[in-house]
Amino acid sequence: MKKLSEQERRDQLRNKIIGLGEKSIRKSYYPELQQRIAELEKTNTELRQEIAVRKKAEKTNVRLEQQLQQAMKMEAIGTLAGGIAHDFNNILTAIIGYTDLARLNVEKHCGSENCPLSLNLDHLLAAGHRARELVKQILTFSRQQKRENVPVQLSAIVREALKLLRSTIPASIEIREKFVSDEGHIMADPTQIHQIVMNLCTNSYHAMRENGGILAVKLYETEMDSADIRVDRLQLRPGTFMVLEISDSGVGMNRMVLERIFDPYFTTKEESGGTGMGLAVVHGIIREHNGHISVYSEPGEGTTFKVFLPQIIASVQTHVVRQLEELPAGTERILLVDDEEFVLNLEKEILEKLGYQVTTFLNPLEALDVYDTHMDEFDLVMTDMTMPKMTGAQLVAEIVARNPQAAVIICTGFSELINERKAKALGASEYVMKPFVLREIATTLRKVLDADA
Amino acid sequence: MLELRKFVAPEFIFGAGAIDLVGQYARNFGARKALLVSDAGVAATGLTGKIAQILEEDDIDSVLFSTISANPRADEVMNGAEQYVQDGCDIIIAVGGGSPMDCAKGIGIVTTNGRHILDFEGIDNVEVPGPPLICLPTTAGTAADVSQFAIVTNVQERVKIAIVSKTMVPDVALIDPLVTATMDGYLTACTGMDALVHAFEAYVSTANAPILDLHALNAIKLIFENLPAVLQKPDDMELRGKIALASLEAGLAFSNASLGAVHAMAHSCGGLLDMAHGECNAILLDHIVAFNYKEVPHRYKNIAESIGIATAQMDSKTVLKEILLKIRLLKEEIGIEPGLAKKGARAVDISELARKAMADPCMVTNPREATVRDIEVLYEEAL
Repeated sequence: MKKLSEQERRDQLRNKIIGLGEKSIRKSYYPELQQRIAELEKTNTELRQEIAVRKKAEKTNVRLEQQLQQAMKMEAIGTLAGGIAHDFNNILTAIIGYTDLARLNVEKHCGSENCPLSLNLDHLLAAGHRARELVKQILTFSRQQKRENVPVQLSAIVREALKLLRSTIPASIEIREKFVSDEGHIMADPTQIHQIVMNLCTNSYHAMRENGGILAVKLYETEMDSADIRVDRLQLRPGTFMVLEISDSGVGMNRMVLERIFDPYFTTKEESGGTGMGLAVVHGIIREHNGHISVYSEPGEGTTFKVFLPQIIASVQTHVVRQLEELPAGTERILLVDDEEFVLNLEKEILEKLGYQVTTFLNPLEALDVYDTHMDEFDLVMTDMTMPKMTGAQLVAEIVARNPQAAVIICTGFSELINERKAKALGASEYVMKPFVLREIATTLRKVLDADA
Repeated sequence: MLELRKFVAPEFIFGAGAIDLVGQYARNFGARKALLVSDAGVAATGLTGKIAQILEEDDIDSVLFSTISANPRADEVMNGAEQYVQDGCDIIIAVGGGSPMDCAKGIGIVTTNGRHILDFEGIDNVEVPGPPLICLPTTAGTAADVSQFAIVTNVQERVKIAIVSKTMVPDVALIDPLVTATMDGYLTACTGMDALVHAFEAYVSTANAPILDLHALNAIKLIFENLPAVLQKPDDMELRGKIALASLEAGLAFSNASLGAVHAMAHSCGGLLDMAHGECNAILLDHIVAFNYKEVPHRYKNIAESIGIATAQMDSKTVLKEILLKIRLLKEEIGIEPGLAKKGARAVDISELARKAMADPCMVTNPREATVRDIEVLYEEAL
């Protein structure tokens, strides 16, 4: 390599000072740095948001998990308590029966109504009756009591209960009502629903006894579709629910108490004579009505109960009349089968409003007998799926065997897993889901009847 | 005129209150913890404490590194780099004169390149730039806050090494003339003369350029007109501002055009005898002007015009005489006495001083190519 002359060396160094070829000029390193900082900040923000979302989801999960556990616990307690109560009821029957007998015998022997033995037996009888009351409550909680479900306008019952409460609750407690949906109906035992309102409101009153406050009662609707996480976790049927919200501004509850409030015999009101059965009974009633109860409370912040009850279509008269003109109607003759009288009547009314001629049967066997002899007098058969004596599927099979051209619609509740393919396989023309949606039933009917014609 | 040139300078804020922006600028870099590089003298004035407080208000921690000599030494730079890493700093803020600022530049490149500071000696030997560096100059002369130079003393070899690289240009300079009022008279004089020499050498440098000429000439004019006055009225902030501006302009010029024999020789004196840099420069300037003059008389004529010498009727020799007279008068006026001997240089040191000056990168752009013998003669004259 040629050795550089002094002049060349100097020129080379001079050019380096001027530095045109330099890559590492500091300024060029700024944008990268700033860009990197910006990127990191953005990533950071995104990460923070993600963490927040996750935390929220975890919280929801924990809450739902707790609700599930609670439901399972209540189920177990209910089964246990119900079993014991039944056995105990039998024993009580013997105790009370023989006490009654003994009383009669004592009166005969003693000849006096004021016989000390007789008085003792009276006390024994009174205690026996108190025990039977208790057993009845336990049976309500454990959902083993027979009840009469009818369509009920929830707001009417709540209003009635509140009227009663207003006269007993002191003026230091203000009662605020807000009925967003006044019309909503549920399928329920009115006495039991009344009991729920009375129980919850009495609890609220107790929480505010010292300092007074506000008892707020709200009634509104909410939709839960099958994608709603609550449906799965709380084992509710998707659909419209009436929500009865009862909140107080009272002393509130801590976690320990909250976890146990629905347990039978758990009470915080020993001095004032609480039995610990109030909320347990409420819980039992609500589950029996396919509903759900949730509670939110913080010490010193008051308590809110939310009761979810499935809504039904009941106000047929008002609604059908208004929508009738727009709905596809007809005058064909329909044979309608459902083992539940209320449902049967409701469906009949709906179909008649649409103009159809309806013949109803509670018993599928009877329906089949009539169909045998008067096949030509019916244009369409509509049947429930789940029935004693003969299921809807069997009935459809029999009808199709007699008349392969028969137009048949199967009605099915949520619990019966049926889809279009299954319905067709049974020989039915169509299927509809219960509870009825007016427009859907009207459209389906027309579709089936017109296809036949 | 048509030679390809680039102009390198940091973003700088000039004016009263500039240092108050340090928190905002540090935050712009995303800084969390700053290494404050300063010296004991500056720290004693409370300025570093004030800076730390401003940073604190912007939620930036800081740690002080102030064990620095008047001419920063290689091991001091290495210590500073160690502290930077140990304390987990992510920005360097230099507060002070040339020494802390040069030291801060050194600390930066040592931490990012992981090499010894002396490895970077010479022109363009720095691979990776350092972390963000903000300079807050407290003197008006060094211009290390805008330059691509850093001078570090190699104690073993008793030599000052120059590191010249675009990576050494700070990221931000916050030039606050009010802060320079903390200097005493003699330091004001010496640093002011440093700025004057920067401007002289940049203007006659073989790497000069038109855009740099403007700054160099204006700096020379400002120093001649205002340096004696500021010594008379040290609290006149207008005058302080003019000297600070002169320093800045001289810095912009020399950072891009480089320097010459005065600086090469002064670095040599600083390395061998630990003499004050500005003072050395001042003593040597007129000798080197006389030596260089015949190579670029037209450029010296422009300098003469800018300092009020009416050259129109003068022949070339008279112009030189007038310039030298002006320089000597200025030095006299501001109290810098001639003679390196008074500052500790001896005749026996001259050959080593000359040898080391010849190796200094600043010698490359001196307008007149010098031999070792030329330099020895210049030292002898200045002794």
